[in-house]
Formats: sequence, C-alpha cells, structure tokens
Amino acid sequence: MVLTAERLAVDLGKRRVLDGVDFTAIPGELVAVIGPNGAGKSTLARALAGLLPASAGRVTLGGADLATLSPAAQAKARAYLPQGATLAWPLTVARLVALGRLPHLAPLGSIGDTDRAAIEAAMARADVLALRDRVVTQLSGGERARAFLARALAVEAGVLIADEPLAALDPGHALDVMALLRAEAERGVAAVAVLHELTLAARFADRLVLIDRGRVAAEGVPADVLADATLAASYGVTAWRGEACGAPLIVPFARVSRGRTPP
Amino acid sequence: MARPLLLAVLALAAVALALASLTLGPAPLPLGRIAAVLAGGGDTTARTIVLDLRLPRAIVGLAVGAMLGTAGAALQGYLRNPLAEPGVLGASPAAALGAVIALFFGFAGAHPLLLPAFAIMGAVAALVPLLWLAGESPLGLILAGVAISSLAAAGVALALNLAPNPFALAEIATWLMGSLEDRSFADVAVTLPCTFIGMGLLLGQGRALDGLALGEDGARALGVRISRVRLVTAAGTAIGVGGAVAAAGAIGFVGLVVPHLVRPLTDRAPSSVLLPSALAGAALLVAADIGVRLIPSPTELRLGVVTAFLGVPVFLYYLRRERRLWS
Repeated sequence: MVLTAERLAVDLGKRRVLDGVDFTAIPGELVAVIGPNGAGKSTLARALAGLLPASAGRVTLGGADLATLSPAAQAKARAYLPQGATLAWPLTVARLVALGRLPHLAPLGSIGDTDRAAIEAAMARADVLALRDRVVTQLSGGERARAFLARALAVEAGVLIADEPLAALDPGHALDVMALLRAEAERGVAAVAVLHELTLAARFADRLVLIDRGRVAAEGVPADVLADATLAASYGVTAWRGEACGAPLIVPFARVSRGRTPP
Repeated sequence: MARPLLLAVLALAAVALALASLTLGPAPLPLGRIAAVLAGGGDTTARTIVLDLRLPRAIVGLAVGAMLGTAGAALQGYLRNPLAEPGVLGASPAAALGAVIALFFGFAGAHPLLLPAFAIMGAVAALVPLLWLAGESPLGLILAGVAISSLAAAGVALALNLAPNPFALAEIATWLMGSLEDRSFADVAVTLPCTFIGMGLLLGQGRALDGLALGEDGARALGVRISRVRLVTAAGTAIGVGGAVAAAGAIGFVGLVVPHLVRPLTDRAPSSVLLPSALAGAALLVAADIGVRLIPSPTELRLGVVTAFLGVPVFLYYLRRERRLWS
C-alpha cells in the first residue's frame, strides 16, 4: 500500500512544524526519515500515521486521503510504533502483541484463529516467541524493542511507521531491529522509520528523506543524501565514508559549524 | 486463573455474602424462617423483615459495590494510573455534595429523579477537569483529585450546616463515609438503573482501554477514538457513581482496592479487569457491610470506615511505588 504526503504542512499550536513536505513510501521499500533534533521527523511520522491533522496539503494511504478514512480503516491499513514505546500495565509479551489485533476485532467478538495466527507470525518474525510469557516491563531494552515491534507487526498492515525504533539500543540489537524492518519491506510492506543512526540508515534503507527545519532538505539514495554538503548544512557534522559489503558506510565523525553553505 | 473460573468464584462469593447479609439485623431471626421467606413462603413478620428491610440493603450493597469496582477499574485503565478511583478523584464526594443539596434544600421532594440527577451532576463537575488531565503525571492527577475531594467534602459540611432541617448536621458522616443502614426499595429503584447504565457504558470500553495501555498515540493508531472513550468513561462513571452515592453516600477506596485485588488473577489488561472488578466490588462492599454490623460499637459503624482501613494501606503502597515520579 502506498503512503504519500503532498505539500504537507502541520502546525503544533501556533508554530508551523512541517511545511511543504512531499513524501512517498511504496510497498517493498524501507524509507528512513532522518534529520537533526527538532527538525520535525516525529511530527512527520505522526502526521503520516494520521495522528496529527494536516494544516495544508494532505496525506494519502492506498490512494485515499487520510481525512476521508475512518480511524478504524486507517488502523487496519497502517501500523504505527510510537517513540519510546511505553506500556501502562505489566502485560506479558503475548498479550502486548495481541493488542495489535484490536483494529481487526468485531465490536463484541473475541480473538479468532486468524488473529492467533497473526500474533504467532508476528512474534516469530520479531524473534520473541521464547519471551511470550515474560512480562514486558521486566525485559531488557533489546527484548522490549522487539516485543513492541512484534505488536506493530501483528496489525499485518501494508504500511509500517516506526518512530525511532532504535532509541537506546546497543549496536547488536539495533542491527536486529534494522534487519527486521528490512525484512518487512521485502515482504511487501511500505516501511518508514525515523532514525538518528546515519550509519544504519545508509546501510539498510532504500531511500533517505532528510528533514531540516520542517522541510525536506534532501531525498534519494543514501550516498546522495548523506553527501558532505548536506551533512554539514543540516547536522553540522563531517563524516568518514567508505563502502562495506556493497553498501555505503557513513560514519559521522567531527563537528563543523552548522549553516546553509557547506565549508 | 482462567477467566470463567475467576468470574464464577467471584459471582458465587458475592451471592453467598449477600445471603449471609440477609441473616443479620437488629431483630434476631432464625435461619429457618429466613430460608422459608427466600423459598417464597414464610410468616408475615419474617417476610417484612427479610424482604422489606434486609433485601434492599443487600441489593443496594451489591449494586454500589459492583459500580464502584467497575468505575475504579475503568478510571485506572483510562488514566493509566493505579491510584485512580471515584473516591480519591473526588467524584464520589462531589456526587455526595450534589445529593445533599438536592435532599436538604428541598429539590429531591419535587421529583424522585432529582436526587440521583443532582448526584450525577456533582460527579460530572468533579470528573470533567480530571479526565482531560489524562496523560499528565499520575501524581499531578491524584493531587488534583485530592483538592476536588476536599473541596467537595467541605461543601457537604457547609451545605448541611446551612440546611434548614435541624437534623441535617448529623448526616455529614453518612454522606461522606457511606452507609447502607435502613435502605428501602426506593433506594434500590435509584441505584439499580444508574448501576446498569453506568456499568453498561464502562464495560463496553474494555478494548479501548487496552489500546490506551500503549499511550494515547498508540491507542489512536489502533483506531481508538480517544474523545469518545473519554466521554463514555466520564458519563458511565458519573451516572453509576452518582446513583451509588445517592443511595449509599460516598464510599471511598472500594474502586481503588478491588482492581488491584483482581488484576493479578487476570492477564492484567484493562479489559480483563473490568468485569471481575464489578463482581469483586459487589462482594467486598457486602462483606464490609456485614463487618459494620458485626463489629461491636455503640452506634453502627459507617461503611467508609471499614473500606478506608482496607484501602488506605493499598493506596500508600502504590503511592510509594509512584514516588520516583516526584523527582
């Protein structure tokens, strides 16, 4: 299912946080949304997920304007993993993952065979089957990240939006999560992830969208978007670059003054 | 514990306690005569005592307990706050204030529905500011609830001080601590419909409350309409608690304790806690009402005294766990 934003503007309070953003994610690709802190990445993720209204422009899901889709229809078509996933009650992993089936349950119906199969499959893909009876609040950070991702996968939506899924993960678990997002894209999902880890974004994503000060500053394949000039202008950093296993290797390395013109 | 078993055990406990409650009263009545009445026969005196005096008390106790348990579970789920309950948040004392104004300033005499209506309005006045604070820090919410609660209690005292009825002042304890003494079928008629409406609204929110375990964004992404959940939760709590308070006064801590007692016996999801909380609330309140009649004292103890002794330790325990949020 195709997810797009067309000339999207979003206001938070009186401040225009996003302006004139065009965005597309098509089935089978992993798109990483990158950009410095406060650039509007999470706002874009929330707007794409239908959690913030468009002040101008529109977001479309499967060709339909989000404004015309009911919350229930959106919930089946798109899975959203909030930033810093929290859980109010000490549920087991299996019960947490089952929450992903909420959009599919009939008003008074209970979990059926289709739902159970989806829950099992999601736990298998996220590699949390062995944790199914563990309480989420007692898991390690890496286990917890996979459990919350399994919850999002259980929706079986054509679009997956993950807001900073790598926050506070060690390199090994970060690689696991990126591989999982990559695998979802290869299953035919349009996957969107907000990322701070440029090295991992360059390695795993098909396309990068660089947001800076509420606008799309650059977009395209990783090597182009993470060019020296854009890195200096948006992040105020320089990077070492190379190639590993056929993928660009980009490691932010030193601080330069941030500005519109590259040094 | 498997859900059907848990529900069966709790329902049996509630019924058994209600039957036990029928055997207690100022006039001694042998079990055989009570059994005869319940079987549909019995002598006139026994019928009057059991059916007109004791049965309404038991029914109101079951209804009020079920309502408070459900409201506590629903508020905890909606606010994602283990300390939430109608008493602590001020809904019950505010409903008591509404009921006191209706009773002692003559409105209740005009139409029987005005008493619960005033109580419901009181509960609404307390809940509206609180439910819009959801997602704020749990302690901020509880502090706001304590403020509303204290203000409502002061309002009850003031209203009863100013009431034209010279006996009104003696009623402060009844309204703020709750009592099931001398309930009649008029009280049943007030409580039961409110309980059915309130519980119906709240029990239907289970799925949405489950979604809210993921936070507001997580829930909305799953298709939960937060504004509707908030409205239904506010309405269900206000109507149910308003009806309960109109018949029995403000009984604190039942809604706090009961969800915590049943939660470990479930998968801990809010939807799984709602119905067991209703049944356990009914059982607990009737048990407390048996307690106030068995504990020897010159005058009958207020229900809220017993529930406070049960509830305050639980409250302090969870407050201690939340303490890290102060820093």
